[in-house]
Amino acid sequence: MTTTLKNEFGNYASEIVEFFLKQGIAVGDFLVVETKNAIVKGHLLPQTEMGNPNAIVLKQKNGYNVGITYSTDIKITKTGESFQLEKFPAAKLDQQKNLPNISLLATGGTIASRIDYFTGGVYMASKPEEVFASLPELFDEVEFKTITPLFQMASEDIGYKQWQHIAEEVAKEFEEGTQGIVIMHGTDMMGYTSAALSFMVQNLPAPVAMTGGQRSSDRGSFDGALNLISAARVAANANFSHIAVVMHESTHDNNCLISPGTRVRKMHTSRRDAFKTIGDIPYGRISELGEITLLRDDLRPRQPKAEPVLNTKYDPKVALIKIYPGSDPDILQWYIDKGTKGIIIEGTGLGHTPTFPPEDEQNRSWLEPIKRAIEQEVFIGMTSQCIYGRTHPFVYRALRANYRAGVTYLEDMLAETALVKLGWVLGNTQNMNEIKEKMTRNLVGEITTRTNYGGYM
Amino acid sequence: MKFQTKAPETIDFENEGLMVGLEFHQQLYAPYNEQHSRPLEREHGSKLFCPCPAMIREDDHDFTVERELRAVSGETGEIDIAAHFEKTKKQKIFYQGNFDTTCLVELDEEPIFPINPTALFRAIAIARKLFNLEIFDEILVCRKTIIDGSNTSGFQRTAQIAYGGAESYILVNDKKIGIYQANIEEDSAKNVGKDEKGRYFRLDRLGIPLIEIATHPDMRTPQEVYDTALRIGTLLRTTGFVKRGLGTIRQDINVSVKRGTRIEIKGVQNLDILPTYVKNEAIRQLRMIEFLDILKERGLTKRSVNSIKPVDVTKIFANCKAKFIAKALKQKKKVIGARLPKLNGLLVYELQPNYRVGTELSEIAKVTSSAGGILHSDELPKFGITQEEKDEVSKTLNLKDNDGFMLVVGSEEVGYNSINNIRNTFKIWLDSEPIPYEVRSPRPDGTTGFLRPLPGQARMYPETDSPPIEISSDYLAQIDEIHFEMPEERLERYIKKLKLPEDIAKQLYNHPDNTLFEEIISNFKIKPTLVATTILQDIVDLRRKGMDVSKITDALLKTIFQLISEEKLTSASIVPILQSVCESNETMTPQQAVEKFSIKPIPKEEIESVVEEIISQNIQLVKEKRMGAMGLIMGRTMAKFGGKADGKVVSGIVRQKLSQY
Repeated sequence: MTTTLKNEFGNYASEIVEFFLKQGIAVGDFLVVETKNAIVKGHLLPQTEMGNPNAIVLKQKNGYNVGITYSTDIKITKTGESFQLEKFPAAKLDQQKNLPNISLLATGGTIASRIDYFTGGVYMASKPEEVFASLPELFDEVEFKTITPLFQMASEDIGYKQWQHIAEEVAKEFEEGTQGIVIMHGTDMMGYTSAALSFMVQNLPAPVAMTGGQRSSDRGSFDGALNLISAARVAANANFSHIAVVMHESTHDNNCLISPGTRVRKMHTSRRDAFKTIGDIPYGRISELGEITLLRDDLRPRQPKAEPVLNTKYDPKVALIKIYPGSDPDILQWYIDKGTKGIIIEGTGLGHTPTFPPEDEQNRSWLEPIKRAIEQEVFIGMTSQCIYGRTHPFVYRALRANYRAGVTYLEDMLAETALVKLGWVLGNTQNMNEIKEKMTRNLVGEITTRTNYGGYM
Repeated sequence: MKFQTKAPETIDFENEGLMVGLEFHQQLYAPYNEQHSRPLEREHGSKLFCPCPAMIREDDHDFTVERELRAVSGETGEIDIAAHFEKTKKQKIFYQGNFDTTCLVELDEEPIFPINPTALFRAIAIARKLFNLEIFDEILVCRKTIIDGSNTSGFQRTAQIAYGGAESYILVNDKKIGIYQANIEEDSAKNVGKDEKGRYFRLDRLGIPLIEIATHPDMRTPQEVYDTALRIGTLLRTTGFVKRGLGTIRQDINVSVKRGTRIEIKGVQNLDILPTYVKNEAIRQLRMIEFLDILKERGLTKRSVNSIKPVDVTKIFANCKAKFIAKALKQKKKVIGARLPKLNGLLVYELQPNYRVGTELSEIAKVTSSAGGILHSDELPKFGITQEEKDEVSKTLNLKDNDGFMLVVGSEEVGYNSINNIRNTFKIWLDSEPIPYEVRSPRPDGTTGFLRPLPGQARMYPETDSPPIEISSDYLAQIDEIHFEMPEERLERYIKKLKLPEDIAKQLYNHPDNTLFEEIISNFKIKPTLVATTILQDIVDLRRKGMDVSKITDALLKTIFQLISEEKLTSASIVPILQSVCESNETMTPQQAVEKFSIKPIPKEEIESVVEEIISQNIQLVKEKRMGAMGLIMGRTMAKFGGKADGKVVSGIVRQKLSQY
C-alpha cells in the first residue's frame, strides 16, 4: 500500500543511474531529451517498482508524466532548473476553546495516507494533522486535546501488540479526562482491532469511534472526510460509552453508521459502505449535519466518572480455520504441534465439519482429529462461515457428534471476533472450564441473546 | 474616455495578431475485449478503464448516488485555485446511472481495470499514422484534479501518448498546421441540470475513451480554424476507430490576440459555430481591455472594489409588480443588492456582440453561486420593476454619480455568495495585465460565458492504480501494419470504383456519416448511389421540411438497406419509412418501423381492374394510338395509387392490356 524510495533514483537500470551520477543529474532536475525526431523536456522522476528500468520518466511542464527509453542515441542535457520534492506543511490548527475536548489516535491506513504528487507514491502522513487540511470545518466543532500518531501501519500488519498499545493509550486518554476518542485505522483489519479493544478496555466513560477511508485522501471524493468528521462528532457528542466503528452507511456521502466494535465486518473490498453491523442492530446513525440517532435502547450512556478497566493480556497461540469441501483435518494436529492452545473453526451452516464421509474416505472426517485435539486440552470453538446467523449443536447428527466430542458452539459470535476473544481469554486463564464459560458468555456485545429480525443484510 | 456601447461585428484579425490552437477531442470506439465482449460493448465500444458499454442513453436512469467533492491540497500543499473555486460552490452532486452500463468503476467504488487495450492501440495508431507523432516508450496514466462534479473521483484519468516533432503536422489548404501532442483520456459525466439540492450528472458518458489531438497555435483566421477542425475530423473518421454522432466530438479552442491573452473555450460541439466563437473571443479580448481602461480612468480602485458589499433590499420590493419577484418573495427568498462603483452606464457595454458586462456578471453569479442571474441598474426600470423602486434601491445603497448597482433574487446564501464572488471578480480584473486568464464556455448564440479561472499547474499526479505501460517496438510494428485510407484516396475510390457521381462523392468523403455509409456498403450487396443519396439528400430533405431526423437511427438505416439487399423491400419504401418514423411518436424497433411503414405491394388484380377502368375511360385514345397511349395510362394508374404501386408491375400490366387493342 505504501512505498518508500529505496534510493533517490528508484528502479532505474544501473547503466542509467551511472549515467546520471556521471552527469551530476539528480531527481527533480529539469532535463532536455533529444530523440531522433523530437525533443521532450521535463523534470526527472524516480522510476517506480513496476516501471521499465530502462525508461527515463519525466514530468513535463504540462503536468503529464512520460517515459523515454534510454539509449546512447539520445542526447540528455540538464538546464539547471530543479524541482524540490514537496514538503507538506501541516494544516495550522486553529483550535477554538469551549468546544468538546476529544483525542485522536492515528495508527496509519488509507485515511492517514497521502500521495506524493511528484513521484506518485502513497505515503503515510508523517503527521495526522495533514489529513485535516481538507476538513477545516472540524475545528468549529471539537477541540483536539491530543493528537497522537501511535504508528504508521497498514492495517494488515497490525497485530496483538499494537492492540495492547492502542488499548493502553485509550485508557490513558480517558484517565486524563478526554470526552471521547477517535482512532484512525486501516480498514482491512479494523474489525479485529475494534473487537480487541472492546475486550481490552472496558467500563469506558465515553465513546471510542474508530474510522478509516476506502478512497485515498488525495482525491476530491475522499470518503474518509465524512467518516472522520462523523467519528469526531460521535466521540464528542454521542451518548454511549462503547467501542464503535463509524463508516459510510451507503454509497451516498450523507450518513455514517455507528457499528458495535464486536459485531462489525468489512464486507466489500472497495466500496465506501463496506462496513456492516452483522446480526445485530447498529448503535446508531449520524447524518452529514451531525445529527446522531441512536437505534438501540440497551446502550450504556456516557459515564464521565467511570474509570476504564484495562486488561491487555493476550495469548497469540490461537488460530482460525475455515472448513471447505476436502478440507484436511490434519491441519489441527499441525497447529497443536506448533503449540496452539485454542482454535476457532469457521464451520459450514449451523457449525458443521465433515463428520460422516463415505466408508472408504474416513480420513476426511474431522471428528476423530477434533476429539484428539480436545484430549490434548486444546479449546475448539465453532462459528459459521455463513457470517450471519447462530450456530447450533443439536439440529443434525453431525452437530451432535461434534458437540459430544467437546466442541464449544459460540452462538452467533463472528469468527474474527471469536478468534480475538479467545486470545484474550487465554491470556487471562488456562483453565478449560473457565475458558469455555467465558467464551460462551456475552461480555461486550459479541454474542446476542436473541437473534434480532432486523439484523440481517 | 469616449466609447461605443455596441461591440463591433468583426475586426481585422491579421492586424490584431489572432492566433488559435485547437484541442480536438474525439470519442474512440473500442470494445474492451475484441474476442469476448457483450453485444452492447461490441455495438458501442467500452469505457477506458472498465468494459462497460460506451453507450449514451436516452432512457431513464435506474439509480442515483449522492456525493460531495472536497478541494484537496495540491503539490504545494495549497489548495489549487481552480479546485478551491469549485469548492466555493459547495453543493451536493447527484450521479444518475443504469445497472447494465455503469459499474463500480464509474461510481468511484472500486479501483480501475487495466487500460482498455483496444482503445490504447487505436489511439496510438491514430497518433502515429495520421499525425506523424512520436510515441512515448512508457505511457503513464495521470490524475488531473477536477472537482466540478463531472468526475466521480474528483479527477480525470489522462495519459499523454505522443509528442510532436518537426514532421508532425497536417496540411490544411496547403498550409502546415503543427500537431504537438496526443493524449488518451476518460470522458466526463454529463451535467444534466441543477436545482436547490445540487447538481445532476449522468454516468453513461463518464469513462468513454477519448483521443485528444492538440495543434500548435498556427491558425490565423476563424475560417482556418473551421477548415482545420473539419480536416482533423475527416481524418479521424476514415480510420473507423472513432464513435460517430452528436456529442462524440468536442473541441477546446485556445484563442489569443496580440494585445490580449490566451483564453480557453471549452467543449465546443458544433463545428458550424466554431468560427463565430473564435471571432467573438477575439472581439471580447479587445473590448475587455477597453472596458478595464475605462474603469481605471473613472478611478475604480481596489479600495472601491472592496466596498462592494451585499445589502438586503427585500423590503423595497414588498409590493413589487414584477411577477418573478413577487413569486420569489412568497417563497421566502430575498432581494440582495450591491453598489457597483463607477459602473453606471457601463453595465450595458458590450463585450461581445449582444453580450454586455451585465451579462458577464450574470454568468459569473450563475456559475459561482448558482444564482438564476442578476438585474442591474442600466437595464431598470424594466420587467415590472418601477423607477421608484430603482430610486429607492439607489438611495439605500448610497449610490453616487458614476455608480451602478446589481440585484440578486434568491436565497440569502445565493445572494451573498453571488455578490462576494462578483467582488472577487472585479479584484481579479483590476489585477490582470491586460485581462485575466480564464476558461470560457460556449453559448448557443456564438458568444462565450465565464466558466472558471484557468487552472494552475499543480493539478496532475500519477494514477497509482494503473501500472506504467511499456510500448515495445513489436507493438509499434503491429501498428505500422495498419493501413488507413486517406480521405483523398477514399474520394478517388468513390468516383472510380463505386461510380458515385462526383458531386455526391465529394460531399460524402468528409461527411460525418461517412463511416455509416462504409459500413452499409461493405455489409450488404447494395447500390452505393442509393445509400449515398439517402444519407446526403433524402434525410436532408426531411430535415428541411422541419422533421426530427434524429429519430432516424443507424440501426434503422442498416435494417432498411439489409432488407433491400435481400429483396424483401423496394427502394420506393425508403422515404416513406423515414418520413413516417420522423412523424411518429411511438418507440419502435427498426423491424417494427419497416413492417409498419413500408409500401405493401398492391395485389395484381387490383391494379388490373384500375388499368381496365382507365382504359375504358380513354377508350377512344387507346384505339387510336394503341401502344402510344402507354404513357398516359401508366401515369394515370400510378396517380390513382398515389405512387405506392410498383412501377414495374404497373407497366407490365398496362403493356399487356394495350397489346389487346
